[in-house]
Amino acid sequence: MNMKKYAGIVKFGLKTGLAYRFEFILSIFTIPLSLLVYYFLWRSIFEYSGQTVIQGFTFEAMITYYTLSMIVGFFTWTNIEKWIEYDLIAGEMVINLLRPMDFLHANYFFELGMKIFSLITQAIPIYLIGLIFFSLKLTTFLNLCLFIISLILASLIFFMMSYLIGILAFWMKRISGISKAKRPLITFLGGGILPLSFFPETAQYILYFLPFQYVRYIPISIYLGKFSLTSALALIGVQLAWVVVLYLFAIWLWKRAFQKFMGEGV
Amino acid sequence: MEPIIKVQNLIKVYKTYKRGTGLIEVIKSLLKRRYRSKEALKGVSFEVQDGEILGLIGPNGAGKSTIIKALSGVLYPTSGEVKILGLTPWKNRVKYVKNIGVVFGQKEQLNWDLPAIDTFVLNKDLYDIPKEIFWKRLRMMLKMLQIEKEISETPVRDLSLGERMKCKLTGALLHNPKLVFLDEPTIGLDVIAKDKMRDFIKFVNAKYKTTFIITTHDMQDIEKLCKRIIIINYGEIIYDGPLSKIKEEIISSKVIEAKFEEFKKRFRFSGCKVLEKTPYSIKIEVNTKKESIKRIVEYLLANYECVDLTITNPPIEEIIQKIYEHEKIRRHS
Repeated sequence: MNMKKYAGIVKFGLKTGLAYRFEFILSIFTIPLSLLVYYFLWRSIFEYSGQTVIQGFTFEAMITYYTLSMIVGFFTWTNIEKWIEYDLIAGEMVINLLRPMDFLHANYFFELGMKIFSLITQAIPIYLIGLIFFSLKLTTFLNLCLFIISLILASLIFFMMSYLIGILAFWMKRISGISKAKRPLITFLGGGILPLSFFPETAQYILYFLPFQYVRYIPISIYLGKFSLTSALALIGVQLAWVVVLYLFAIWLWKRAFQKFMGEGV
Repeated sequence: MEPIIKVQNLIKVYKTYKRGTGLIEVIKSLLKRRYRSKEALKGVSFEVQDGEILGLIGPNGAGKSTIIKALSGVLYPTSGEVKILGLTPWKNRVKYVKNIGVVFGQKEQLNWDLPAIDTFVLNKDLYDIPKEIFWKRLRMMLKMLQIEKEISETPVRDLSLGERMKCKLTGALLHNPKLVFLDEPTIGLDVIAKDKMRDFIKFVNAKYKTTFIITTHDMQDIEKLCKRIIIINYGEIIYDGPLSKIKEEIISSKVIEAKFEEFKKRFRFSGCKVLEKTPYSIKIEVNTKKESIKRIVEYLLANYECVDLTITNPPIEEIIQKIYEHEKIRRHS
């Protein structure tokens, strides 16, 4: 593996990301805004129901959950499938393929570079906003470490799923529909709209076998200390397994996609 | 010497679908798609020697781009064999493309939002070019192509067409590839810029023994750069050989242009074609296999008061056009 190559493409992504820096700066304000929506929604739910604990969540725990959900969502989110679709429709794919780099890695490291700026500039402000205004709780050092590992794996799973959707564009040309369905599907099934403990037992059981909760619910729950060390490690193991499975699938699918590619645009 | 490129019986069939216009046709195509196969390449074979500049010409849709794409490793052909630098381009894409440079005249290859220099630096990392060599080579290329430093530091979207083209060429050559594909590299450029581009290509070819494959519709590119050309039409090679042979043998004609004091007598001479006639001049095309230049010139000098007489080759465009048309006639009969 040639690290210089990857570092080069990360830098290139970073530069491209900085070309749109204004958009990134703006989202510092938009992310806490959607948090405010959940804040007021749950405040009225708690007031209306008159209960102090709903499904094992106090109001404070609930807000902590959503703050974490924002952070995890922000960390893991990628729209790489739209870039792939765009390159195919606009006829830019040939240019990508002329670079001496594997397609999957080129995409991953470019995306990483694009995001690094926003991660550095925004993750800490959002965490601070959470701590100060939304009563986000600090966690133990061990949980924080497990959380960070889980978060990185979550972002890899998310990336692989988005990448796979993107690869479908080699057959379908347009994947905007799937791409639009991705957000509500992953957010809902991943526990971004409601904590998964609100779901019926069977649904929760089924979700253990799908990749969605591993990109949202699992890292959040690890931060909140809902699991014992052994089950946290086991769940991290499942995350790792998903990364490997999706990675192998992506390699397999890419081979077929490349054979299908017609070199449009040139 | 072992050729750098060996292409054997390359075939590419594109599968696409068709439908007529109108709402009913659109709905029909949703239910049942009618597929259409298009044979872009019907068994193309050729070889290229190390250090050659090969011109690949043919009318639109002839299959030039398909050849370039298959040979640059971004397209899977339907069948056939290609060995370039000992590799099969599409099977070892990542390893292979490190050795080549590609310029698509019609395509933006540098990141639109960033200055060209950022793409150059990316190439430095991707192609593993040592730092000192990279900067030295970049300075040299910018100087030769007369790109000012500021231009390479301006976002690509704000550059002119000519500046972008020069930057693209720089980007494709920085890693000193063994083999370079240029797909219409002078398209849209003015005469001076075209000349600069050609001089630069010639220089790189002479200095680094870089092999070039050039497709173009500008015959000046071909005349100034290529010794050998391949003409392709309908996915087949219809000519592969030296450019001079096309000029001399296939169409052995000359154009004679004469200017007169006064054009009194009618021009009577068999075996040649009058292309243009005014009261003071005449332009004729002579088939040198049927008629000798000498006899015509003697006739002209004996019968008219000539003030000027020039003998030239017909422009290469016309020759190529004749070959294309000839091919069409052969096909239709």
